[in-house]
Formats: sequence, structure tokens, C-alpha cells
Amino acid sequence: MLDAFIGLLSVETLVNVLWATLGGIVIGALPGLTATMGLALMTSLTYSMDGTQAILVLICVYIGAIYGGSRSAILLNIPGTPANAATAVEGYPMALAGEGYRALGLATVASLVGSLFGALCLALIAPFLAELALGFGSYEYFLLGIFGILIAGKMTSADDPLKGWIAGFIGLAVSMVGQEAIHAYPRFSFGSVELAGGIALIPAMVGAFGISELLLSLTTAKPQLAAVAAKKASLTSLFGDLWRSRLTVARSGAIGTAIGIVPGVGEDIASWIAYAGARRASRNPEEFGKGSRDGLIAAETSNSAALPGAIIPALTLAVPGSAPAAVLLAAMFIHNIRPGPMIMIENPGFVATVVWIVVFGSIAMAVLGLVMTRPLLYVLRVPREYLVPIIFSLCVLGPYALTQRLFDIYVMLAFGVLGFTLRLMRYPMAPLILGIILGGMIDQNLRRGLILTARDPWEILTRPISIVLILMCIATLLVGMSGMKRLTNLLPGRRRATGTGQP
Amino acid sequence: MNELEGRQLVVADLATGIVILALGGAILALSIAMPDFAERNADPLTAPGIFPGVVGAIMVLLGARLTLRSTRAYKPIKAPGEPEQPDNGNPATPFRLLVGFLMMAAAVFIIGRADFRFVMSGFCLAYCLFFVGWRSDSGSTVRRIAAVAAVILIAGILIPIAFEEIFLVRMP
Repeated sequence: MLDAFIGLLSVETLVNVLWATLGGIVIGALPGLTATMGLALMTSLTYSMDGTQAILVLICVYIGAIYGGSRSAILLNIPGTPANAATAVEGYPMALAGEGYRALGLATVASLVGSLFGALCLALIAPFLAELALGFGSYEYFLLGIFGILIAGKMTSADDPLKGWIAGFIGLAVSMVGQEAIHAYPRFSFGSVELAGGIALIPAMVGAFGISELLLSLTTAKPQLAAVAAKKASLTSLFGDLWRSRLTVARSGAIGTAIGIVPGVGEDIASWIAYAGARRASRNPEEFGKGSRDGLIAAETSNSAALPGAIIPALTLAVPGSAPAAVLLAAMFIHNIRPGPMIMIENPGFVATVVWIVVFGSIAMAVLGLVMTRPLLYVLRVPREYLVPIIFSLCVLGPYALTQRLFDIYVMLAFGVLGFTLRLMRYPMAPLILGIILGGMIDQNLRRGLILTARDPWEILTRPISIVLILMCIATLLVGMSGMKRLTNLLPGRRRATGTGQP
Repeated sequence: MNELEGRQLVVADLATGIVILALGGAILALSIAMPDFAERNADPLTAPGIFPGVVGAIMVLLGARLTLRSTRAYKPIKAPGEPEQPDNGNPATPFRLLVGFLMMAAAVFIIGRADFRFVMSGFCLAYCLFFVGWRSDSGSTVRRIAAVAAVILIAGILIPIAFEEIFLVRMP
């Protein structure tokens, strides 16, 4: 580890860390530009660089982008990346209540701690964690996806989880449009070549969050942020908040790292599961959805911890833990770095180098994030009518930039209308987007699992991880149902607590 | 205009429940009609319609649940003493919403048929002309004009340049 640290110490490293992290923050903060896209674009810029420096640039962009998405999530209620959807749920209400400074600061320090926690896990237990992830088979991925939909629906619409689940399954239905992975059969395309290519995630996300937010802003005669006066929050108070929520931080860091390790799952699910855990463990669950610091800390800690977690299987198994990690993996091959089971034997120093890169990137992220907190708050004071055209321009170009299809712009607008309509009726958007993200994975793994178990679905009950996931799904469905509430209120302890037996 | 409340929400939920129910049913029907490629010796469990069918079935259940729940909560005749529906804001709001949406839709329609910069600059100008409070007492007209010019510069010129030069995206 010391050799790797010394090997990285150079002016070139410092310069690359700073500009790459800053670039990642900007990419992540802009709605429509995701970490995956940023990494893909940056890969071409790093062709001529030394292998280690190239990987350093890409990891710093990755760290910056995942963190940067929290900026727009908190200030504009538009998550810059899917991993920041949970951040928007808590951060935006905090900003509206005049605590934008604190929200941005908390997101920064929570991301720092989460990222460093993940780096520590990467260093200490990478081989063990990689082996555990090998235990995830098709059924486990299927159930994890279903659980992700259920928990997101429950958490984002606690008063009416039915609407959250409807949104999630609408997302799953949308993900079914286009050519499926096994037979390339064009589902629900109705003869359209464009629909046969499927509904892409980024246009749908930008539309559902971005355009719908712009349309909602038109329904308020008075600008929503006109009276916001941000109260300053010192660094000491931010770390004080983090210390008070240390259990949340520890739990979220562990969840983020563990989820990040599972190949193909990613930071977005990690943030939702950690958010759910924080809400469940909270003494004040009613605060969630209205600007809960715990919720914000949980979301940002876990999505940042998931990043090093996602790098673990990329390094040790050559299987990416997330979409951006997939791009990182490709970049490693381009620069003659061979990830896989043999890396711990052939090139163990590289793993240590990656750990230090994550540490350097995290520190740069925190410094840049805190320095830029105050300037970013001025975005809140800009009247909406001046921001809307700029955001609209980004919303149009962001989805278009990935595939350069005009169809994606039309999809973006359509989801904007859909999102606006659903939000008027109090449907959450996050489960819808999660459904689009997970639909393909759930579909393929269900069919694959059925085949691998020779058409015996009961095989699923012989797998311990599957049983745990099934129980978690059932618990998510049952908790909060009105019948269950009445049932639990009949319990002796609960009756004494309420006095009336009323929920 | 914000979120719907009271009876408006119940009516909206009832309509949505029926739509979800119908949509789920349509998805289920279309999924059942999908081929299973048995003639290609493919395992029927790999049929494309399996998971969409599951999703459709679940949507039918969820839609039915929402419809039933809304039906129970629906009150077609206002009961005596029932409070009036809350005023959801400025009566001009639906007009503002319609204008804003039409501007966005027009911009999206024209994109690809004209230079992107012109389209976006035109959108910015039109949007600001309509929505900026030109008669407001706060701030001078000159500052507002400068702000609009800045918006056109950023959204219509700088952002496209950034995408073209840095992210190597060809403008639509």
C-alpha cells in the first residue's frame, strides 16, 4: 500500500485528480449527463495517457459524477444521475426550507465518508467480497430487482405505497419495449423501428424528472424559491450532524459497498436500500420525504460507498458492478491492464493503486464540493423563468448526446408529460425510473433461472440468499398495508402505546 | 395548481385505476400472443412474453385495487357541510402551463428541421418574453433584458458549443 501511495505522488497526479473530479462533478450535476456517459467520453480523451493516470482520471470522473448529481437533486429536484434520486427526495425539501447550504454540505461530507469507507472495504476485503458475490445466481438477481422496485415504491410513497408500486411496474412495462435480449424479438414495437430499439433510460429519466419539474414550476404563480434564505452551516456542524447519524452512516456505507459489489446492480439501488434502512431505523420516520437529514446522509453515503464496491468485482472478476464500472473495465483493457481473478496474483499493486486513487478522488470531491457550495446556492436565487430555458436546453441535449436519435428527444418530452400527470396525482417518479433500469435484468434472470433449474421454480427455496430476498420482498409488501396496521395495533404493547388502538 | 386533492384526486385515481387495469390487460394479452419459438427448438421458458405477461398481470391486480379503492371513496353528490374544493392557485395557471408546454413541444418539433442554436435561442426568447415579469417592480427593465440575453447566450450558444467541442456531439 505504501509503495502504491508513493508511486502516485506527483504533480501530474494532483492536476489530473483535480480537473477530472471537477469535470465529473459538472457532468453529474447536469441533468441528462450521467457518470456512464462522462466516463465513455473521457475514455477517448485518455488514450494517449499512461495507464495508471488514465484509470485515475476515469475513477475521479466517476467519483465526481456520482457526487455531482446531488447538486441538481438538492437545488432543482432533478437528480443529475439515477443514483441521486433518493437524494432529491430529502435534499430538495431541505433547500426549500432554507437549508440548502446544509443539504449540499451534508451530501458532500456524507459522500466523502461513504467513499472512504468503500475504499477501506476495497483494500481490506476485496477477495472475500468478490467470492460472496459469486453466490448470486439468476434467481438472486431476479429477486434483488423485484425487491428494489418494491422498496423504492414503498419508500417514495409511504402514505400510499400502491401508487409507488404502480409507478414501478409502469417502469417495468416500459423496459419491455424493444428487442429482448434472448431472441431479439421486438416486443411492443408495433412495427416501429424506433420502438424496436427500445425506450432508453436517460431520455425517460430526464423527461420524468426534468421536464415534469419544469411543467410543475409553471403551475405555481409564485416562484417556489423566491423566499429562500440559505442558513450557513459550518464544517464542524456538518461533521457534527454526521456524527449524530453515525449509525446511519455506518449502515449505509456497509449497504452501499455490499450492493456495489453485486455485479450489474449499481449505486441507484444501493442508495434506495440504504434510504429504506435509515427510515426504518429512524425514531422520526414521519420526517422522511420532508427534508430528513438522516435520509439525505443515507442516500449519499451509500451511493458513494457503492462506487468502490462496484470496482471490486470489476478488478477481481472482470465483471462490472455498475454501468460506469463497465466503462472503466473497458478502459483497463485498452490500457493493457488485465482485471480478473489473477490480478491479485499478477498485479496486486494495481489494486492498492486503485484504493489510493479512490481516496485522492474522494478528498478532491469533498474539497471542491465544499468550496463550490456557496456559489451553487445562488442558483436557488435565480428566478425560475431564467433557469427553465437553460435546463430545457440541457434536457434536450443530454438524452440526444448518447445515441443522437431525435426519437430520444420525443421520448423525453413524452415522459415529461407522463411524469407531470402522474406527479399531479401523487405518483412518485423514482420507482418508474428504477423499473426501466431493472426491467431488462429482471426479465433475463427470471428466464435464465427457470432454464437453469430445469423448470423447477421451487429450487429457489433451496438457495439461502433467495430466501432472504423473498422474505424481504414479503416484508416490504406487508409492512404498511392497512390490514397489517390494524393487525399490529391489536398487539398488546402497541395498544398500550396508542391508548386507543388507532393506527 | 399543484397536486390534486380531495374529490379531484379520487376521481383521478378512479380514472387512472381503470387505465392501469386496461393497460395491464392489454400487456397481458399481447404477451400471451407473442411467439415462443418452439419451432426453432427454443426452450419455451425463454419465450419473450413471460416477464411482460407477469408485469401485465400484476398491473391488472394493482389497477383493480386502485379502482376498487377509489370507487369506495368516490362521492358523486356533495354531502351537506362538505367543504369546498381548495382553491389550487392562480386561475391563469392552466393557461401558463399550456403556453409553456406548447413552446417546449414546438421547440422539440422544430429540432432536427432547423439549426439547433436558432431553435433553442428562439425558444429562450419566446419563453422569457412571455414568462418574465416585465412589469414587476423588482429590478429594472435593463437588468431583465440583460438576463434574457445571458439566458440566450448560455442555452442557445454556450451549451451547444460545450456539447460539440467537449463531448463531441453533433447537434441535431
